[in-house]
Amino acid sequence: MIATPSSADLHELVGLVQATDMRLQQLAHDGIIGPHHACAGEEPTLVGAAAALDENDWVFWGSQVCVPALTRGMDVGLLFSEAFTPGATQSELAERKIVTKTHGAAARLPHATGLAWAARQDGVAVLCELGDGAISDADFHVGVNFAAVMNAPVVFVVRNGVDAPAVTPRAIGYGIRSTRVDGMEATEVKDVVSNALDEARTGTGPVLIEAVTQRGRQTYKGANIAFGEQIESAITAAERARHATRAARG
Amino acid sequence: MATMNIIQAVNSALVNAMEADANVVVLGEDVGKFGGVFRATAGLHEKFGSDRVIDTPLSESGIIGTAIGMALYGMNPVAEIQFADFIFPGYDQIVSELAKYRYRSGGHFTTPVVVRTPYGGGIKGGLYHSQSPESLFAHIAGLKVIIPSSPYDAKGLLLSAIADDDPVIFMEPKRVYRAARGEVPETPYTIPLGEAHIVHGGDDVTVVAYGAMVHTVLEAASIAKDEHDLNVEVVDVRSLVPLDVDTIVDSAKKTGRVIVVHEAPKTCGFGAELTATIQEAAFWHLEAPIERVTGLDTPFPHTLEDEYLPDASRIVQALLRATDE
Repeated sequence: MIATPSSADLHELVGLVQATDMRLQQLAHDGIIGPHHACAGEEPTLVGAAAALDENDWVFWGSQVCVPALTRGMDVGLLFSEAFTPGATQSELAERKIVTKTHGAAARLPHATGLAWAARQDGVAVLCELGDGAISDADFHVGVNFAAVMNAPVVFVVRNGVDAPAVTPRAIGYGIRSTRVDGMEATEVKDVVSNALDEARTGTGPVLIEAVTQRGRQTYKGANIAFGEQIESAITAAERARHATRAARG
Repeated sequence: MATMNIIQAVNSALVNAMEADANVVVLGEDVGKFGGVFRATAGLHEKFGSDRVIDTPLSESGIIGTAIGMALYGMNPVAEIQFADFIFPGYDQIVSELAKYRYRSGGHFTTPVVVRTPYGGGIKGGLYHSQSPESLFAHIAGLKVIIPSSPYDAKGLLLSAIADDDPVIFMEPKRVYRAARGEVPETPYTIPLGEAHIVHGGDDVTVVAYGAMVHTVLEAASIAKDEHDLNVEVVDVRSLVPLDVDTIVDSAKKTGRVIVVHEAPKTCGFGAELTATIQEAAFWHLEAPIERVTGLDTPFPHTLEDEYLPDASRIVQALLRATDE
């Protein structure tokens, strides 16, 4: 069962994501877990977008998979299990229709388009998030162009750090709708993405959303304190599980 | 039973698969209203409509990439790449995405996509309509690589490929698309992936080949019998991955002399894999070195196609070297 958070929960979710993300970053920095791509202050965009999903919608997500996982009700402990023992939570992610770990910045865009097209008659929309780096990749063009031509119900959300070139004008060339939103306001992002997903479900084709963010800015300084106890016990459990797995392998 | 060429057999397989399962869709450049550059999808658009026979924009990465997305949702897309030479813009999607979804998702997401593509020389197509890139796919874990040589095999193997849970690169020998003809049932049937086929029995020497080269090898075997009284066994690999090691090695043990033939360049061609596999398993049975008769280590030529491609004469010369006491 996929939980859809209410607006009232959004700020708490942003805090939980940030606390989780910062702790993962620290564990990676200390060499305790593998590399971690941090949310880097873009949590409001990520959480707002993921919170806009309906239960049947699919998600194509980049590195910060903790966001749709937590937003769709996955236990924070499982995220640390995944960090300590990669692969541990694949079934939980798949159950939540979260597709992740594509290899390039934009490789997942055509997948999102193809799935959205396949699901177009089932009242399903697809959310595909990406960073501004991905818009230089050939697969950005391929994914958005195919979505426009095939009229696929997919919403592309681009996190655009300040001073990067504007993304929305590109939509003109594809003949699709686009919106720019303040990416540092989770509720605004959620509303815009939610409307776009609703529109896409009615069969009016893809939408390109540009969320303007301030990368690197830490928004919720108190996050570690608020969620500290929950996260530290999750880490202890995940570490213990990894020791047990390794011991079992001899 | 009807007499069909390979194009008609492929078309018949697609019709059977699409009639049996609404999740089977065909996509590619000009596969719809036009019926495909080689007519392999002729009539499908009229029969099944534009939601199941999809004309795509000109982008191989888009064809493969959207097919992956459709497969994730439970469909069975059959993507056509007009020529194997054009597949490289989609190579990243095949290697990095299509081949790896099952592995990286712990088996929770599978991508049962079939990529059909005509390959090989012999049609005066020059550099970009003649290449044989099969070993570039055979080297990628997570892909199956199938190359039929006859209409009967083309249909049975394609239906197995479409039914498979994992991605299959299905390479069609375009030189014999229409030249190879044979009896093919109009009803569905399957040939298991991973089984080689002995198309001509013999005790003196084994030739291992696949695709259009099987026909050239059969021509050479006939000459070798008539002019040199050699009984040549011809093994059609059919399935490069998974490879039927037993059938190939058993033949090598029986004759003790082996030649491997393909039209791709020699260096790192699939013949290297076949040769190594045979010597690992049958070294003490071999009476002569295993020779490779292949295309040349050059880009595919515009004008010297006949010099580039292995022909019956080159194969007969190799057979004589292999059987020289």
